[in-house]
Amino acid sequence: MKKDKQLNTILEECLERILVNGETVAQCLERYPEYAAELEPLLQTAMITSEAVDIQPSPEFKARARFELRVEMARADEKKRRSVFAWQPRWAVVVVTVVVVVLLGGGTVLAADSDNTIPGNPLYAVKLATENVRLALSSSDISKAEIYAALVDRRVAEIERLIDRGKTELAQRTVNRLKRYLATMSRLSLAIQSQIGPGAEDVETVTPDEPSVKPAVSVQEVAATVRAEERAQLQVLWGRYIVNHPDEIRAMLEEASPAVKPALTRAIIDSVNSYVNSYQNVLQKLKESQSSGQTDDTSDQEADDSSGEPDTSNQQTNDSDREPGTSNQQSGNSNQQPGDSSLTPDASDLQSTTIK
Amino acid sequence: MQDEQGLVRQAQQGDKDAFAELYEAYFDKIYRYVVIKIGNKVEAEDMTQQIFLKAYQSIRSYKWKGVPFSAWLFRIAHNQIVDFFRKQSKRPTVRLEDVVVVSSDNPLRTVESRFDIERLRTATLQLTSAQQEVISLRFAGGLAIAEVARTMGKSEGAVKALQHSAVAALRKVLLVGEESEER
Repeated sequence: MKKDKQLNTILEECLERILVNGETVAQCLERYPEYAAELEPLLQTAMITSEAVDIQPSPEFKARARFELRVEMARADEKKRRSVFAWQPRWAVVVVTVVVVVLLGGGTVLAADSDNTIPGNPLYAVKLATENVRLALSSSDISKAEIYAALVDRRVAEIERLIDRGKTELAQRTVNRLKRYLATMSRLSLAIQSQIGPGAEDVETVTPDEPSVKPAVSVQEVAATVRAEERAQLQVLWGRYIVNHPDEIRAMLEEASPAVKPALTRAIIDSVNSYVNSYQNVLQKLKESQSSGQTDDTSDQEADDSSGEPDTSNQQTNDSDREPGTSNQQSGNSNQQPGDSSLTPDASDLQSTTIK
Repeated sequence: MQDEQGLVRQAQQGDKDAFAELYEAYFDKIYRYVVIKIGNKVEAEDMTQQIFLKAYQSIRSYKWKGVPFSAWLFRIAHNQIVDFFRKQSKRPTVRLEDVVVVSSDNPLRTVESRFDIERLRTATLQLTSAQQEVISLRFAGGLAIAEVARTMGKSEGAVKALQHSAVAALRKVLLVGEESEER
């Protein structure tokens, strides 16, 4: 027992000398000849482990991550500032953006913001920043959703080009980005639907014979029309993705070389599942709001039928892309990986490691 | 790097450059820790970014009180990984060997190391959860034994014993793997 304790300490001391001070295994063994037989295999295994984990993030990823962190830090500060000065006009942002664009050189920004600029290109970060500015300047949820739909189109085109060039890793990353856009569209849709509210459809059932029943009917009718338009716009946005893109990607799969097929298949599965998941989520919320409002509006069901009949079996196999806001719904649906028991907060293993 | 405590204090007061220095100091370590835990480089990149964003958003809530900044940061990483696996469903995942890039200019070494990290990850799955955590924090995260102890909420003596048993168990698993490959 005592020897074990000593060996624990000696092993740690040797590891520190080797990993931090650059000593060799042989030098350590010389220090502790009486433990050499037990120490040597342990140190060799530790060395193999240390070498195996000696991986580095790619310089491209590091550069992008650094840039995005700076953007996020600025955004977080801006948010804080806005909450203090909520009255600050939106035009101030526009002025600052214009100044930045002029300083950066309009030509560079325009060049970056083209379909030819794909991940891996040094100007790609500028392209993403330009898109972020566009999103920041959009004034409503519906216009944000429209921008996101356009960005989805862009990402799909980029994935196509990346796969074509055999850049599967960048393609996978772009698929991830695309998934985030779909999730955000889903969130925006839910926000818009909640603004519509369960009672909105009642207004549309009011007949001209009953004006006295609802004196404010004309105002409500106008409101209902606007909301119906928003809803129709949303359905078009969602429909466009499912109708166009999976077929495009499938067509690419048929022509792709065997080397890129696995990555392309993953891209299809990821993007379709992500879409179906988000879309089903929106539909579910819609149905809930309708049933609670006891209305008789079948337009969403029609949208479901006309949008390419998403396979609900796929939806059931993919819960992973849900947004943080929906995580409670799936807390009972934990699909942990083999061997990840250490990741479950465990009183005996990781006391006080949970900071939530 | 400037004194870590000083940097943390400056970052808490909104100094972005101070946070950027902390970010540079820990970025690779956190990335390696995440890769070895989840085995997918693309996901690991996204998660590494999320971890630092979360750290930036909540750095004001960090209080020294004997818990080093590294331990606080690795706990955030740990929590993110817990969430990741909670959300993870049966969707197809990218195998580690498909995606890991090794820091070597020598292509032969790259191939060899690719094999090693996948084998290492597979092997660590045979260890107990605490042993896995020690290997991930100590070797992938590059933390000193005292930092591992603070991160895991254990004594240094307990972590040294865990490290010993983890390395011994890992050796056994790797040896069994080699024997079955030879057959």
